[in-house]
Amino acid sequence: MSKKPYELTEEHRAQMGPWRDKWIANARSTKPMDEEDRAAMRVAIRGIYEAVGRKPPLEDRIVFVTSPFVAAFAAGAAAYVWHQRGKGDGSTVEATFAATAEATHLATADATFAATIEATSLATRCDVRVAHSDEVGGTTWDATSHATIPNTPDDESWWCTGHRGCVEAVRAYGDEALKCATLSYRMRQGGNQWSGWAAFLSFFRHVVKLDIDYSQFAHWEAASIHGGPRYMHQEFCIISDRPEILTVDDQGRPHNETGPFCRWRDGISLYAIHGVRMPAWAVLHPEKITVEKIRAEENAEVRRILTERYGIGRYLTDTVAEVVDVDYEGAQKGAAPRALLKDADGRLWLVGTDGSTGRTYYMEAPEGTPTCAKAHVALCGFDEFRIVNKS
Amino acid sequence: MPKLLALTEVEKIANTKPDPTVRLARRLDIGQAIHQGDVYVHRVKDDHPRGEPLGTRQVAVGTTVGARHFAEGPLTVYAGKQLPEWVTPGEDYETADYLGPVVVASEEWVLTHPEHAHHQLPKGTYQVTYQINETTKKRVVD
Repeated sequence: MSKKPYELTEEHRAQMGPWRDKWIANARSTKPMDEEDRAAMRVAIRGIYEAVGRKPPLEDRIVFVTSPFVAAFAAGAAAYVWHQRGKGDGSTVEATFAATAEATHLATADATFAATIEATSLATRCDVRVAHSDEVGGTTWDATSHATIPNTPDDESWWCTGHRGCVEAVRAYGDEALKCATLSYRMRQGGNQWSGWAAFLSFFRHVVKLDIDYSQFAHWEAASIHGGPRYMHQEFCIISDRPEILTVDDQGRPHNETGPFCRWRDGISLYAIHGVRMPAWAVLHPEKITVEKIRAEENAEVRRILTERYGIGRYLTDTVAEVVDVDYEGAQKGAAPRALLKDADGRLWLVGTDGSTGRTYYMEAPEGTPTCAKAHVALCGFDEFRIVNKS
Repeated sequence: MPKLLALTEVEKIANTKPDPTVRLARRLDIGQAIHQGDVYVHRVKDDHPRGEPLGTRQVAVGTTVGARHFAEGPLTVYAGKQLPEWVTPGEDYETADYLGPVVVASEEWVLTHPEHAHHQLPKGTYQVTYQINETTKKRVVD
């Protein structure tokens, strides 16, 4: 006979808010991992491997590092080493490993050589910690997109140094290593920063107390509490610390208008304004924003924020904008005024809003476009009379 | 026209009061569309060409907040194969720059986004298309 499905009770409903807040706090925690956390993580990690029928990594192949950046690069490179070993190509690996380690060591400012073994020692060799936190200004590194080379590093940035080390390592390993590094996201789990699923499941474990065997999930839950993002491989597990700074806006989006919204203790920093990831220079040095840099920016949201930080009025004044056309875009809901402006270089810009976010967008229109409506047609490929609602 | 006029027009746009409430379309005829950010959703015939199910409900490409246009409801999202006949790629562009997935909804459904207002739409078959960026000559990225 099947069990009666669970139905939410008022008592349980009343606990949803506090439960949510508890897990949001966990996701935003900036507490450094301590010995208690690391001990709990070792137990949890072993439990997770065993829960899926895998042999856990050896004790010293459960490695703790300072940031997801270090974890991502080290995991990718270490996975490559293990992959090569699996193919019996150990001699090549040893040779390239030595070369890479040397290159990486030389390139990193404060590399830490911990007493770990073989492939996992690479994790600590790739540690790009810097001695001076004020050197971190130029980083635009996305810890979750570690293989993407940022396009705005400041010359004086530690980033260049750390990145050169990574590039040297990849060069030494070749294209296959690069592939491994770029695929390391497959091993990634967000730890405390991916608290959503754990919050949902644990609600039924601890509040509802469903009659389910939670002994295996308990390890997952513990790993969501005691550690940051982790990379799990059949031979090793690399776990990042929590960040030391993590700020959001009133809607919970990554946000800091004057500094990094997220910074780890090795100095690696991420920048965002109201949820839009920004280059560091645009946050730290808004005075460096120029019309040329705004025009060169390919990302529409970043360009919008650059324009806003530069100042819309200033932007139009500096580009000596001329009004070509104004109208009121029609729609049953979401209609809004718009304008077609021509800047000093003769480029046309359709200026409008989506009608629901309060944002103003600047979209370049093809040369010679005479009206706002035709500019929109050029951007969407069809006549806008077909649009019923917009947002 | 004097440059101050441009400032005035932009300020008028910037000061438009946003309306974040759900856009409800009880009826959407074939050939009509809705617009959410850089995504357009067109009502098309039920036999509109489509590929394999994508196994996702996200109708825009990417992992950023801006790309989180999700189709919610009793529906399946398929790979897109053909633009609606009323969508014509510009001179410098290809079909792929505009083409998004196909949504087949058996009941009323909602196009959600974390920032733009949601759209409630009737059941039917829909083709998603994207806005293009004249600066990059590619589809809009946000």
